[in-house]
Amino acid sequence: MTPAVQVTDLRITTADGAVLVDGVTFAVGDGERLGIVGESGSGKSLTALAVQGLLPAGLTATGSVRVGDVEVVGAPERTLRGVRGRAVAPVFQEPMTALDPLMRAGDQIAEPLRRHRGLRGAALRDAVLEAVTDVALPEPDRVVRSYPWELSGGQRQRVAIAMALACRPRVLIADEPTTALDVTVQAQVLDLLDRAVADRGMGLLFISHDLPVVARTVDRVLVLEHGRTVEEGPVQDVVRSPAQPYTQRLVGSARALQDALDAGRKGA
Amino acid sequence: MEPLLALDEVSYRYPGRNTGLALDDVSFAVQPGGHVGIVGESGAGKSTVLRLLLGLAAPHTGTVSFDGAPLDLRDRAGMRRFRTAVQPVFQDPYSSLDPRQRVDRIVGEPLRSLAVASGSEASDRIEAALRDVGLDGDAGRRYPHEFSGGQRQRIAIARAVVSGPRVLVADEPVSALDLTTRVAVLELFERLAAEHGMTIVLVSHDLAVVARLCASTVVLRGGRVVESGATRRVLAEPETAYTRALLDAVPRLPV
Amino acid sequence: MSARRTAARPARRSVSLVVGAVFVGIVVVTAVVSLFWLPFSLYDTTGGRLTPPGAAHWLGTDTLGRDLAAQLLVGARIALATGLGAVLLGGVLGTAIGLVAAFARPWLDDTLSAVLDIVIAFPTLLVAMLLVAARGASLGTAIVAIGLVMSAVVARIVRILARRVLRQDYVTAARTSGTSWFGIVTQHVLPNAWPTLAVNLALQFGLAVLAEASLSYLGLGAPPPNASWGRMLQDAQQTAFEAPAGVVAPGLALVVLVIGANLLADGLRDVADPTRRGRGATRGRVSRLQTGPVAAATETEATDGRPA
Repeated sequence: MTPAVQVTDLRITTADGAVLVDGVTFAVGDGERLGIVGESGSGKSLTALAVQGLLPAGLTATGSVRVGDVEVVGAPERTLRGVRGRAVAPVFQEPMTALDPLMRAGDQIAEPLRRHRGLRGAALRDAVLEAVTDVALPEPDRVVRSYPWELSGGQRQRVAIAMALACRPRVLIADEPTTALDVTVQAQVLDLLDRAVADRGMGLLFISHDLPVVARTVDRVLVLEHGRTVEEGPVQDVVRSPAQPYTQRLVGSARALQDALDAGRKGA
Repeated sequence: MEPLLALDEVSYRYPGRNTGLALDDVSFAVQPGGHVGIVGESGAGKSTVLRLLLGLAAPHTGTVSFDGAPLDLRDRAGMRRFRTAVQPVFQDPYSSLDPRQRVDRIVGEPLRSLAVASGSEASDRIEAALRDVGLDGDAGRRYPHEFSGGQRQRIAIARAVVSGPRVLVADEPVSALDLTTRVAVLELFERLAAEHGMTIVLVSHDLAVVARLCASTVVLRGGRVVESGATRRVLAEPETAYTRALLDAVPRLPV
Repeated sequence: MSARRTAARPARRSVSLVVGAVFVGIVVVTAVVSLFWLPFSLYDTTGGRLTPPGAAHWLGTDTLGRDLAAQLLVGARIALATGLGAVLLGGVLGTAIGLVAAFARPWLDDTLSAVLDIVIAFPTLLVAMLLVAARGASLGTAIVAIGLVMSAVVARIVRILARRVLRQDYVTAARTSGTSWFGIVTQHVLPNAWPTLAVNLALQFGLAVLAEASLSYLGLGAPPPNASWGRMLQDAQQTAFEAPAGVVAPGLALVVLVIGANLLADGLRDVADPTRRGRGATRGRVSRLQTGPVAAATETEATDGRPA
């Protein structure tokens, strides 16, 4: 069975020849969770965009990105449209800009349902309500009628997740989905992602700079620095015994902050 | 001993008819040497507390005091003393530096506007501040866009310390920074506070950051103080369910 | 720790800037020359009616026997004077009003914005005609009319630019540094608003020149023997096929000056915005996109230290 996403030797360069991503290789199978961790300039977000064929103009990708049986690198827009949503669906960091401020939440969730599952009328309305309930949004009727600015950050992100799930993609690509959220809301949204992915047997590509969040959410992790893969492996191993100096620095910083919290908790 | 800064039963409401109280009966004090962390999620009132602490707004009820005396925003001489002593560091290193000014001009603004120093004394202080935060002396001749986020934050810190303040009010100073840079900048705060006898008021949603730096913590929620006290105590034995929920929500690395 | 430089000052020039500067420069030189020397006096009607271009009269003469080249040169003076005068008036007045609106309380801001919208809705020519009816046709009246309408447009722009700047943390930092509001306006608001404003003023310059030409064409500009290009077009209209030079010369002159001003504006924008040109242009563009998924992909050299 072909993996849901197979990226081989992906290189992304700018028009002036600067290399932003240099030879990244990974695969995400059905039901697998892969995390990509890196700081700014690591190329992790560009990689996520490349998988969806959403690289900004002026950047070129070489290498191979196969989503199912479709080669994304160099594919025409028509092919990419078939891939996006159906095979891979995104959840971005800033829900306020991922959602159309002029459309009600219900209509925005209805759009992918209409396009990818061909639902209409009453069936569509029911599916929208079901999608909203699936992401544990309280008062589904009110949410469906609301505009994005009437919802809180956490609620908007749940709507964005509902939109992504509505297409029943093979892989969910989440790029810093909880970075802009309060910590309590973050915990809830991460739980939601956990459940959604597990229930549907979807793959998850989770991208973040926040090591503890990634560690809690994925099984395997890829560590990127300046566009290159520095280390990869099961997340528990990488975090407990980082092999490379860069990874050690990352883990060290995360632990330093966590220790401060723990020192307090133990009343030491 | 008079607290350096204090909020006393302060309430604040933003203009507009249907807005509720942004702050409701908030009180806490900042003692010299005792770094204070103000923790809260969005809508808790952190930005409002900041504006009050920085003398950018006056409370509707209650008092904001500096050195034991109530702060009068219209008293120019008093405000000048206040501003020389209380300086901010903001969250976004990309919007807190004027992109069209050179770094030395940016860092020197407090010296000029508060008439603290001028001429060669000012240049010396600017250069010293830049070095203090770990930047080259010649960074002053460059423009903000030539620096990374972490470096820009250091420039902002240099601007904050150049007037020799007694209080540094930091608004999410490391939230916009990479993990590895965060720890470095926090250590910088600690060192500067110790070396220059400054007290830090740190506003953040990140409990770990507050725990790292602050001896006491104030937890805000919906404009009210739900818990406050020594950081160790608040973290080890939180009194409210909300604080406990905050602590539990922090994702942890496997040991 | 040393600073890392992004594409600091790329070498590639803006073509628009150069071409625009050349076009405008030609007209400026012409105007300056006309102050010291003219091939013929404007009052000299000895050239013979509609003489074709030749050795004596380079562009020929008009229906009254006056030299066209001389009129063209003097017309350059008028076009430039109007353009600059209107931009000066509109720029200064507009900036002042825009700043007031930016700092004003909501009710004042709304009122001002409504007034500005009404003024902008009035065609420049209509305002000019009203003024001329009141005070008589003259170059000064034309400049004032054009400048007044322009000031409303400038005010709108300055208001938005100023508000954007006032929202930035560095303005809050300036306040806590003890800088007065006046200091904030002069040290932070105006310098940051200037690049965008300058581009717009260059465009307005071109529009002012066209407006003056229209007014003169309608007979509402400076009275004869003023040699505005617009008035030249009016004069040569009837005899356009007999003596095309009378129409082509001022028409071409207008085109050169206005297109030159527009290219200059384009070029200024290229120069003022480092993310649009040469090396680092794409990366700069990627980093400037503040919204949505691409914001997360801001992988430029100078963004280390910033998550995602």
